[in-house]
Amino acid sequence: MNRKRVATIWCEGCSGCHMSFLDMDERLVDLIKKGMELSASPLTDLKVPPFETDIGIIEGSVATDTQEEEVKIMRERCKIIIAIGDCAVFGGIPTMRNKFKLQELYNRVYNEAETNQNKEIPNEEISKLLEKVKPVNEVIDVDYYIPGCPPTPDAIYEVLSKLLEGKEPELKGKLLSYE
Amino acid sequence: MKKIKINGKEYFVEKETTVYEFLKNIGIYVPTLCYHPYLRPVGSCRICIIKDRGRYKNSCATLIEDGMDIETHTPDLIEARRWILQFLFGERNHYCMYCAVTNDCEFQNLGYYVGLDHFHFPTFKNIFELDNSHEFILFDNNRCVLCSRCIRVCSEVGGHFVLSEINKGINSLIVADGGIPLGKSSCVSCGLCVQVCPTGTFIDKYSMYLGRSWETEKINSFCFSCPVACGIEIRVRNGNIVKVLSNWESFTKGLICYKGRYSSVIKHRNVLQNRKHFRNVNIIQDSYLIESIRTKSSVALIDGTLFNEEIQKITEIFGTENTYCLYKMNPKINNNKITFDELDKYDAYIIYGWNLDKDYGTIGSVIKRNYRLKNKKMFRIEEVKDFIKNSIFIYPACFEYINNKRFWEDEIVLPTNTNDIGVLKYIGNKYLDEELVKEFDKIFIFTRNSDVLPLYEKDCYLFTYTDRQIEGFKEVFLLPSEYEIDGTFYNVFNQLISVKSITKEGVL
Repeated sequence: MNRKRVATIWCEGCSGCHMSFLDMDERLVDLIKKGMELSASPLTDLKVPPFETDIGIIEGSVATDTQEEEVKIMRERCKIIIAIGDCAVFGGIPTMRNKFKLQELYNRVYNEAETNQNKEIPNEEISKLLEKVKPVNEVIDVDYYIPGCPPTPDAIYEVLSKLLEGKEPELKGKLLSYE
Repeated sequence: MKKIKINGKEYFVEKETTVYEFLKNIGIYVPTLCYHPYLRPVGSCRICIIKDRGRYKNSCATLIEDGMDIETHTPDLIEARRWILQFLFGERNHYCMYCAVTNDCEFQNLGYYVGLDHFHFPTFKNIFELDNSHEFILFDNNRCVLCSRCIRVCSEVGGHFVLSEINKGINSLIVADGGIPLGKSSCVSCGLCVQVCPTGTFIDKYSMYLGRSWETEKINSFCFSCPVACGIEIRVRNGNIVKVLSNWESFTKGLICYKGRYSSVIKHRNVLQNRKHFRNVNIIQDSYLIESIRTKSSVALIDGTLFNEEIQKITEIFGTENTYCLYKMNPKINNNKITFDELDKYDAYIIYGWNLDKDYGTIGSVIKRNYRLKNKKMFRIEEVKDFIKNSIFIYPACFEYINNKRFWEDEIVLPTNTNDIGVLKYIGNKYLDEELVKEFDKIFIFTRNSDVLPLYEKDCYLFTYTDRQIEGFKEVFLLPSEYEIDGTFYNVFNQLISVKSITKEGVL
């Protein structure tokens, strides 16, 4: 059987979409029967997928330089990219910080915050925040989108099963939700 | 008779109508955004795009012509609608996630309709300041799609001319009074902009998060806050009043003022919270209680904040001869004959001692929009020196004009309280003066106004509707609010209005 390799990564998000992915429950077995082979995921702690992955699923928006890099590698190594959840599709909750300048934000969190004793902005061994939080499609080309916060397991199943069968998925009615 | 073709099928159209309205009548759905059935179409959003003889047109602002060949759902039109929506979703903050109106939003529903699953254009390019200065309305230009419904409703319907648009293109902004905070502007808080806004730009602070419109029950009723008695649509969820909307199908045609939309609901909520501090009395059901306190030498003072049924019951208990008006009435209010619609037919309005924005706001709306849009005349009584043809004089009941010379053809006297006309009809024009008071031992005052003083040095019982303690009375009882009982009353146009109870008594 021709197996299709599926990898997922988790950028600036809450992992709710991965929970929703797991929430497919017994239908995961269904997908495996249809030829899904899970390779990299937050569970395996592989930050990037192996070469020649068929389907790459991205959860979360792009907020740091590391994530930008990861997402780009994802595009290079995967034939199909699916942005899953409101953060990856639209930018989601993390875009709330786009209202402010980055320096204002650093100041508020590390200098003005009452709970922070050190009063210094960490700058070593940590990814740099981008000026603006971006949805995935502002960094790379995305083939399919599953909006929703989180998207329902039904929507994820619909898209994955159709893709594994080689058909064109379409989200309609209750499967399409922005919240 | 015009002969047109729609999707290959022939139709004959007789009256003058727009393409969109005709399509709606024959059951073909075309999405709309800036179109509103009770406002003049502007055709600014273009989402209602159709094809007529190969040319793209917006259906909401195109009149039907003879020989039209209309297509509504060709693949290129569907694609065009998708891209129009993508343009509208771009630029500003249209994240449904953290918006108060999500799941109850026309704009979001359009996204679902065309199957929009991502933003093609970058969002949040320009960031505008959030305007939280208004008492009832949260105003966020970042969520605006510039459909101009709010501007149109504020001028065409409300006659307030507060909202307008400044700048161009991507920088376009809806502003109040040319660019000052909404709370400091001449906004009269009628809330029409909130009602027609298809996005979360105007948000009602007092009803946000209390229930989406599809979670609420819709009850048509009439406002009891002033004698105009505008038609309102009350949204109720689990027995709580979520919000009050104006009713476009009622005789006031969608007009409403801050009293009907906000004040009465807020007071109702406050009273509910303080209910337990008072003895609650429903005049009709608990008449035995009033009977038990009453002696033979008791007098009832009532005013127009009571329903007809309550007035009737009081006259039954005390006798008509022992029931008096709480204050002096102008018997002329009984002669008001014109209807709300007829207000439009006058060429000149003469107004005395009355703030067009504050009291009787919807009559004010009619006058203001006729003055601004139809070039009709508006005077204050001091300015009138000669008879004006086809004019109407509008004045409060407390005003007595000095000489008998009339400068106007018609007149309308505005009662102080909602049902003053009902009081006149049931007990006549009777006022209890100082001399008469001496004859009675106990005085019962029935009014929903809470600013009453115990003027008489007697045993005074107050039946009122209040959220605070009132001193000086022997006992204060709490009447049910206008939302809690069935009843009838007379409005300023002498029409008998009947309302049904909306919530059960005491539910919070």
